[in-house]
Amino acid sequence: MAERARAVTCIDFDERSAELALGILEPTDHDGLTSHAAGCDRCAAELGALAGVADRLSMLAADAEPPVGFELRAVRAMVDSNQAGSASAPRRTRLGWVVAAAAAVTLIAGLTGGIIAHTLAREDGRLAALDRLGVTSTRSGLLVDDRGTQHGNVLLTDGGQPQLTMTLAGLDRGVYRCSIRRPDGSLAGVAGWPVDDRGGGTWTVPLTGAALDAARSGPVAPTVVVTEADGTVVSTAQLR
Amino acid sequence: MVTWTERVDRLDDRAVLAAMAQGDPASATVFVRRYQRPVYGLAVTMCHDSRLAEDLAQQTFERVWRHAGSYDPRRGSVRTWVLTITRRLCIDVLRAQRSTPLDPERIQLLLAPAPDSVEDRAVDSAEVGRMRRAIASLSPEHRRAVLFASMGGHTTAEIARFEHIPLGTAKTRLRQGLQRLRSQLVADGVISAEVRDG
Repeated sequence: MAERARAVTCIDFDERSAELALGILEPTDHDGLTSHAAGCDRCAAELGALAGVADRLSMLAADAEPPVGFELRAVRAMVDSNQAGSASAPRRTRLGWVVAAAAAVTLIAGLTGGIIAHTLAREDGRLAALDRLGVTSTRSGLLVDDRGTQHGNVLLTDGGQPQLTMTLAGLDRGVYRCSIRRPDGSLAGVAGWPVDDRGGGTWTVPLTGAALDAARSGPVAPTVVVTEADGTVVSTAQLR
Repeated sequence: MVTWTERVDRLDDRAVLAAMAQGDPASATVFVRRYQRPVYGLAVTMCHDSRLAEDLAQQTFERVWRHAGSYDPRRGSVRTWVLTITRRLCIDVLRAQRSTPLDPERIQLLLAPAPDSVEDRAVDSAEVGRMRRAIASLSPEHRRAVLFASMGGHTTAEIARFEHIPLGTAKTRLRQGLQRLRSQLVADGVISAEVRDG
């Protein structure tokens, strides 16, 4: 099958691209086609176009009420799965492969834009080679004050278009500034946001100039600092 | 006193996902409340088995929890992302379980208007409506190929067998079906004409 994977042409790809986008290919066929798309802009674009349609087909199904108690069971399973994951290696089931394959499709489709699939790619060694093709990193952290109270979170993505997404909640009305702390303790400003009576919101801004330098400057992940207009520190997030 | 869960519930989906990426259990509760009906609805539509659908819906949320940080809004809405995870989990199970085609009557049901849901976001409802119109605009042959593959998890070899057509014809119908759907969705403004969707 490896020989077949090397022999995939654009014509072969066109013939199977819809199946690849829909996720209905057998794993053996899948690998050769995704490898081809990784090195062919034209086919990567074709896959991205079809995958965008394929993904939306899932919306055709009508909503249905799950059995009583589902919400509680699902939340418990989510939290438990996180704890299990930290204690042992991820299961390598066929279902796991399918999700990893979905990540591969996402990755291939987004190569031109530097799409972020870091977490999924890390989970599957077969995708490791694709990391070299422009995958960006994602760092995040909870915003907490000096009493340990949460005020939101920060998501920092670095790659083709570095950006910072901040969610604030539970704050008093006012203007708040976001900065990144350099290794020497000084702050590089990112942006400022007004918070109204709702106490929060979500903002996304591009990271450029000094702020981007600060985000990349230290040997460890940066710290994001939220201050009031007078400079009083409201909360900080140690990204990881 | 406003609880943390209530605060999270005021956030949009992207922000809730960001909180989930941090391991915030309250955000998990909020997310499940928002998406349990569409996720379970898709799973039960594809599997026709309530117990299996519940299991797959739960697996969907576990995946979302573990991979929340990898969501990219440029690829589509949170709803699309979550339902794609559900659909792929269902396809994997269906592939191992059965060889009979999706009942054509169930395909017709997919094209019926969705029941009103308080939780449905206006933007999502509009997008679902445009998706239904787009799929209805396909020829019956193309529509069956697309729905057999997307909602039934069938391969083109299976579609060829069900439809009594050559394998090459099944592949062509499926690809053309997706391409025509895309053209319709671009014309309706659901997706961008650019290569990258979102």
